[in-house]
Amino acid sequence: MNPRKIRMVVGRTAGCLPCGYLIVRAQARREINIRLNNGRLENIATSSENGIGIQAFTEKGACGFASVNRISDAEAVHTAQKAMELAEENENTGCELNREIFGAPKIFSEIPNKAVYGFDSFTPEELAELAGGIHRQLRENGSEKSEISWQTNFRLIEDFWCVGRSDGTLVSFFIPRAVLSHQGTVKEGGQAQSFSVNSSGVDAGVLLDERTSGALLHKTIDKAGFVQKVCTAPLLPVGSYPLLIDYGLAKGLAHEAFGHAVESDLMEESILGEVGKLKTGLVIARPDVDIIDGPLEGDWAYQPYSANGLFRETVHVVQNGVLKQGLGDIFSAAKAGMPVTGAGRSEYFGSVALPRMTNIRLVTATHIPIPTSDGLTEEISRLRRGLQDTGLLGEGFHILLLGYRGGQVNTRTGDFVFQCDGAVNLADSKLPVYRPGIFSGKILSVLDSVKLSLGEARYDAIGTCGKAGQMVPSSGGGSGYILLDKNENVKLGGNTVEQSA
Amino acid sequence: MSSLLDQILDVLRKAQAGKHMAGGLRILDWRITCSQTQMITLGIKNNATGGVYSPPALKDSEKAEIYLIWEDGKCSRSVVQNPPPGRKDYWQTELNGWRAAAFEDKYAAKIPEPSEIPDVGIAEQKLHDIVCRDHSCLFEQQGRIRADEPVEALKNGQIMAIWGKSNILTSTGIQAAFEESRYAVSWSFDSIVAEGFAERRLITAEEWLGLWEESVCRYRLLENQGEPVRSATKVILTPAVVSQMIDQYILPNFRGENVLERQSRFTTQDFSGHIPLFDQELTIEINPLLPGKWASYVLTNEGVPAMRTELLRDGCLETPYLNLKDAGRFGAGPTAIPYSSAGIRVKHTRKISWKDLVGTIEDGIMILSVLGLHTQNPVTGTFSLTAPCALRIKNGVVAGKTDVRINGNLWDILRREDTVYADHPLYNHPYLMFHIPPDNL
Repeated sequence: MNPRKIRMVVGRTAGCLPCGYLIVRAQARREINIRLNNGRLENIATSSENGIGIQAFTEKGACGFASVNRISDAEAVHTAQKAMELAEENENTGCELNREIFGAPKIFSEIPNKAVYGFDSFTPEELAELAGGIHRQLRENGSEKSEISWQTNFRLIEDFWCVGRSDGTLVSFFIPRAVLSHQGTVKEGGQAQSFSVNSSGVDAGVLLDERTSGALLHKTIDKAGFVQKVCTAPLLPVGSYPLLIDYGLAKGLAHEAFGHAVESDLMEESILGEVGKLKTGLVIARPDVDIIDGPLEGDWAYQPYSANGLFRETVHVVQNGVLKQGLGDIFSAAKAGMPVTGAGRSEYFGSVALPRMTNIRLVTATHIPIPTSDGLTEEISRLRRGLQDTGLLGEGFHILLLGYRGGQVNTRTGDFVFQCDGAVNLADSKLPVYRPGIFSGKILSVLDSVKLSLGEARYDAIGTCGKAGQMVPSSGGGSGYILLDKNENVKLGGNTVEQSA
Repeated sequence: MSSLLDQILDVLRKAQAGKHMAGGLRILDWRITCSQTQMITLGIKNNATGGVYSPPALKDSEKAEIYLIWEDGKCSRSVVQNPPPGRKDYWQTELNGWRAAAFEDKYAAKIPEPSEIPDVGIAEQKLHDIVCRDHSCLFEQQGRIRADEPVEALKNGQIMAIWGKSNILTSTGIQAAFEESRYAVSWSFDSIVAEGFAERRLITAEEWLGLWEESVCRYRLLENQGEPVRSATKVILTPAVVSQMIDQYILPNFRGENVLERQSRFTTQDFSGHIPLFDQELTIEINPLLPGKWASYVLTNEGVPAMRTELLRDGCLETPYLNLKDAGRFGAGPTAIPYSSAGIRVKHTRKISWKDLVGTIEDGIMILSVLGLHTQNPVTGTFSLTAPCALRIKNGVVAGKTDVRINGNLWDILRREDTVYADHPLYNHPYLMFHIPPDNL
């Protein structure tokens, strides 16, 4: 359905009921998925889904939600009525009331699709051919040393969102996304490990760029070489170490350890809250450390407006080492003692919006520049030299962690974990590689260890966040490799029982 | 306008007969899996029922997955829904789009022939009535979660009921229409203790009471401080953690495509040789024929009738789970598909009851939940996990909370003959007890 018609349906529906309040959220999504496996085209799948989700509020503030995967005036009005009926039924059961949306500012905005190549600029067959060529190059270059199983995926997504409200608010925006990823499963010395490397953008330009530059290919081959070493490497003994983490891990740290803990709906049980309010002013890091969350245009997790139709602001979660601001949506920001920052996001039209991160980054004012390297091995050597030259290299063990593999947090207990692909001991001039155990720590103490950053800033580490079962794109990074002092509350490792693959 | 299914059938039959063409080509064979679903959810967040983040919600959807084989042998796969109003050229445009996404895959170009469809109980009329008529009983359940002991806990919870109708039709003559239901409830106290139930039927009063008491008991016990663990302390994984382990290790490594593409711990030769890799008393199977179970089904999405499949029998690898395409590549017939960890059954000839086992544990640590399991290496089976919610067991008595880290390897645990498997009538997966020294956190 075309965006103009969707805007019209949403606008009309938002004002269709005589009393109460409606948030009407429509989505039109198209997607192409191409998967290649060890030289074969495994699958091309296409999908398109449109739908509308409506959150209705009674005058007292009780709410109900209904959704349908069809967009028409009749369906939308029927869905609004069902949502309002549920809101009224909910009110009769003594539900929690919330009237914050009645005071939200009215906004009118229309953001066009900024992708250079439209979703239909290339046929699926042409995209598959481009992806196939890139996959072939990978196989030709990537299986020299050992048995590696290669998979290449390309996803092209065009998401159109339109949010209307009873106050006349009507905002719509496109989120075009594309990602090319290579996944390798390395089997070496009786061990095995899989890894993935990706490159994201807004359109098929991701494929064209890669065809020209081969940047992802080089990164992948480098990573494969590293993972091969990790497979046969010893396990890092359990312990606390001085650390250097890459930008993907910096994103993981900021996302798991801080981002979730300052989301306004989680404040009642967050370790960064007190009696349900954000502990604003809490000194949590050294004075030159910042954590910032906000949308970046063209980014994987870009979203210019919230799912409730409010402007998405850039937020300094931590500024100069002090906890400053949370990720507040219209419903719980005031209760959580923070301003509304338009943080509400939904997985799809049938999901209720929750406060979520977009692009979160860990930034230090103190920064040591490192010359750009051609490959990972050279980069590791330059990092060692950079630390050595500035007198920052630890003795015995100074562990570099590479490759974020995901993480998890319990915001109530303050425990967080994440895993990486491999570790290198920078303190040893031979730069030995280790298999790492899980990285675990406590929210309240880890940031205190962050000292400075080295090398190039990168904010395009992408992933998917699964809060409350809703999968939304997430991204972020760091102002370089992040240096962390040894901290007894941050541990690495495990005496994993050896088992051949 | 006719139903989505009718519209797709019309366009596919015309495309088969050459009345509609795309790129000058006809469709040779097709499959449609069409589902209409109505779902109601209720929730509790931070002790409040029906708030803005967990309002009562009704979700209505109708969509279809289509799979086409064109006369040049290429295949197309797409998910479609009802067309927007007033688009007369919609289906021809879609047909052109499907053709544009067609690709060559000799193994995938297959539609199954009709065969006997098993009678599996996957729909409960009570759930139809709840979803489509009167959902007051769900509001009552929501009220109970909020009001029952422990009143001091910060509670979160969700209740979900689903009713659906599915149709699977193929050009080879499969015409299956069936109804299905699902129900799930879960709750947590202080985000520390969680419990849940998910089947194709409503929970019984006894099951509710049993699960609630279990979670309250664990919550109370976590208020006590447990002793630190020792190197001799045995580790006990609760069924919830075992379920996560199945998701992380069993499902990906037994997936046919992963085995064929060397992305699994196992090779095709491992299966053909029936090598005893695990405890010889251990069997792991998929059984979608069990009535009322969450992962039970009548036909797979591809139209393959439900059947029982042993992935591992008496410690030997039997088969990966195979869809039609992977079955062709593997040189075997298609198998049952697990869809989630709920589809996997772990059987052991010496399985005992949890009630009998717990009294015999002199020194143990019961892991209620772990952080970061999804980040672990699925191929090697290794894990290194923090467990900030674990209960110490001393001399047969569950005592207090001890925070631990567990490091191990699931394949090793399943190979060892001293691993103990214990059943509990309220859970689909067993407790697993083994000895791998845990670390105090």
